[in-house]
Amino acid sequence: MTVITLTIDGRSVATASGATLLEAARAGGSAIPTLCHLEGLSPVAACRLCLVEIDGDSRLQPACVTAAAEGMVVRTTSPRLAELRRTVIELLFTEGNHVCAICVANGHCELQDLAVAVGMDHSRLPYRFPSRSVDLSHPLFGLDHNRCILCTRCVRVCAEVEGAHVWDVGWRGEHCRIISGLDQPWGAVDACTDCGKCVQVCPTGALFHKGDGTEEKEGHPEQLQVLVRARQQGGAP
Amino acid sequence: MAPMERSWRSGSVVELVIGIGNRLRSDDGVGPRLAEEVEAWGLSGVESMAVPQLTPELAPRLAACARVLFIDAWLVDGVDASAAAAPLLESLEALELSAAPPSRFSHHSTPQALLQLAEGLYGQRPEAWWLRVPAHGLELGEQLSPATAAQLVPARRALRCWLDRDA
Amino acid sequence: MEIPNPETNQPRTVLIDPVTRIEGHAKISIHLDADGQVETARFHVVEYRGFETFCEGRPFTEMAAITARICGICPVSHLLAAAKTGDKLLAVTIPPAAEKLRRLMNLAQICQSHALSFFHLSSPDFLLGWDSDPAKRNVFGLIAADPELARSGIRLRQFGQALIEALGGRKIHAAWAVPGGVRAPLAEGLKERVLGQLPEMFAIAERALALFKQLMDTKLGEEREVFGSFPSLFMGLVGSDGRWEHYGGGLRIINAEGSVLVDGLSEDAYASVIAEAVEPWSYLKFPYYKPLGPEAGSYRVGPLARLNLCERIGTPRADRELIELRQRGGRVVSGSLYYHLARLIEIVACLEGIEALLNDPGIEGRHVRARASVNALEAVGVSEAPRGTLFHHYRVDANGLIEKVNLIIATGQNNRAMNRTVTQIARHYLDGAHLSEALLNRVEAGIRCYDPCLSCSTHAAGSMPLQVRLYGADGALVEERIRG
Ligand code: SF4
Ligand code: SF4
Ligand code: FES
Repeated sequence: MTVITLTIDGRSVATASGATLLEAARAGGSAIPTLCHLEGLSPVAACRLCLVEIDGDSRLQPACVTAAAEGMVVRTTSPRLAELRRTVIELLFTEGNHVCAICVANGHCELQDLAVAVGMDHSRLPYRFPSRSVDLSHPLFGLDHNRCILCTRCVRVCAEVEGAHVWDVGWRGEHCRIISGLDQPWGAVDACTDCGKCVQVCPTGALFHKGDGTEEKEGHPEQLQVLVRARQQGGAP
Repeated sequence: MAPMERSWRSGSVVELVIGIGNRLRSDDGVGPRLAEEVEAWGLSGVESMAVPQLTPELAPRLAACARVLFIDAWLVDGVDASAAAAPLLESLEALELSAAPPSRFSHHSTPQALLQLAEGLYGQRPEAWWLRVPAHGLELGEQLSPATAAQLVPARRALRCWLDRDA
Repeated sequence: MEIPNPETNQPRTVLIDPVTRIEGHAKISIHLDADGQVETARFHVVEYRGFETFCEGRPFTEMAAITARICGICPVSHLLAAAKTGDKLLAVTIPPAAEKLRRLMNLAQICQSHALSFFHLSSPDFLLGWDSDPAKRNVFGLIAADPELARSGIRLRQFGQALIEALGGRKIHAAWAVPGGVRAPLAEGLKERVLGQLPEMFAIAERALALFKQLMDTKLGEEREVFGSFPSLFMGLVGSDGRWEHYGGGLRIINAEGSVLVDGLSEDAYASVIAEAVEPWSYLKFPYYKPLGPEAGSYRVGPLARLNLCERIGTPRADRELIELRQRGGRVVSGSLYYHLARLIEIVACLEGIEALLNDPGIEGRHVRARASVNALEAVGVSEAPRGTLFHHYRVDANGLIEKVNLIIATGQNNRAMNRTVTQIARHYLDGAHLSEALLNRVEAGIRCYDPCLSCSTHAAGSMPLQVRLYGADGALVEERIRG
């Protein structure tokens, strides 16, 4: 394993070659906010929250998919990045319908936490109040599209870890949404094994256990890593 | 507002922030929202609470603190909307003399009534201010109207002033 | 402003909106006839609109949190009604410990709500008199006249509030009572703490009772006859053995003579006996007992109704008071001023009920929630809120998404009685064509008998002004008074 050295936020960081900037930054003590990224799932760079500045590159790069390279000079915070991240979060709020006060995930929601982290107290962008539905057709779980931020964690965990391929992203633009099976009600999709992994990894209150009331959902995305590691090593972690 | 003379009561150093309103009625939720922010700041000696309305059992808590700030939505109608639509931080000491006795018609109580209750029943009243943030819409929903949202920054500034005792 | 209702046959949600400065007055209009006598008087409450659409398409499991948030003054009542409706959509019997815990919370809620109504809103009138200086006839006057009474009201509030918080957490709105039961079993140590506070609470309630009974017999003699004293029906929950009830049991309706018109009726069948009239001058629906029509079929709910309906309360101290109440006012007490006395008696009943529940080992059960999926598409849940019977009625699709919501709240059910009360008071105290202080004071106090929940929803800076308008026989406005 070769080791490369780069500079992140003025600190010199050594990391294994092949590591992403996100991994390098975290090893070096820089906290980069992420949302679609989840260790154990393939990266997709869907949310753009982890963008960073790299010297010599005029474009911002998503740290979760960008490989760290020898000699790179990276900044994970700047006024421009702060502004951008806040806008990303504002968009996520305004493009859906989030009523935290009655949400299953209130108090345990990654989106909410990020809103606090990026200093979003209100949205400067207009709310769009889209008309979206709730799918309660599955016997155990529910999906409230109003709270879905299209991070695709559910899609990936189902395909990559469970191997069931229940979820996909359908339609485009403002109609873009998560679909189950061939755009069927979730409960009608035979492929679903009822494992609940998608509910565990969902960062918001979009996927939930049926019967859960307000503030009752506590997702446990970190449990995924335990599972993935166990499988890779073929034994107990 | 000019800095005021302060006389500290021994033992009671807690500052209390009370946000009043309903989070599900748009701009009415601005008080609780700011109070929750203060709570998240985790300042020592500062206690913060969000209540749908003021009720008499808050009186003993007022009596036990040194300073209190009420944060409230203040519904501005068409006329006021343009002229007075900025947060207002006022000392309640001055206001109180002119205040009419509060109605007992609804279950609402006023800050003035609570303060008098604290003093009359528990012999202590904190120095009190209220921060009124203009509200423009009270329909069902969690979002603030753009006009009220725009007042969050000045409201927060006023809040910090108060906490820093510049009020 | 009176807005004609555009969609009279549309069932709508009843909640009241005291909200804005502009239209948020509690409004009372008094109409004179050609002879200058009071023809009718009306108490207007503004209905809370838009609520139904807000709920439509949401999972029914969210209803508890939504309704509890919307009504800031009695969230527990909505939690319980929503949870009971949810139980029935799941078609489950909840664990016994869960029912006991829910009952415990409702008792705590009734206790603290009645304390606010009696000690802080109404007692200044009784103690200081209707014609005393209005600047003094308020809580401050009360502080001066009887600070201990004011403090003890706060103690009762704190007691109830602390019990509710200990059960449901500080954020009661987060729906501790859920379809199928409750979220958490009884916390360690709570029983001992609450039992330890009870003696003081009993003493407070009994002192207030002694004081109020004495006032009823002396200086409130006239008001007793004028404040909403008329025959009417009463409705509420009654236990299967005729005991006072606040959570389960069946619906009973009696008339002014005490004849039982309806008994043991399941809330599911409420629509078979209760219809909701719509009046052109109000958005609020007026529920009435169907067979007798909107006028004769109007009924009262709340503390006095509950005491009139039951044979006995079932706990010794409260039963002694109930017997005394009936000695004073008859088997069916018809004067609304007795609502205050009924509240105090119910506080005693709640304290005794809390004591009994806490001493019941069954309340410490650890299994408090039944899980199930939707097994019924329509359900009605009912509970006795401090102000009276509260119905939640939901229809859901096969997956549990709300299709339709109807709520029947106490203030709507008492609305006709409030109108009659205001009319009666206005007839007695209207002095020529002038809204005197004496009249306004009594009109306000007449409404206060029912402790209407005008505080649902928003609050927006300050207290709600009362607007009283006097109209001549020709419909022209004679005088308007607004008090803040
Ligand atoms: S998903 Fe998160 S942000 Fe959205 S409503 Fe729920 S708690 Fe709020
Ligand atoms: S349902 Fe949850 S996990 Fe899936 S895309 Fe939406 S927010 Fe992400
Ligand atoms: S975390 Fe990198 S783009 Fe979402």
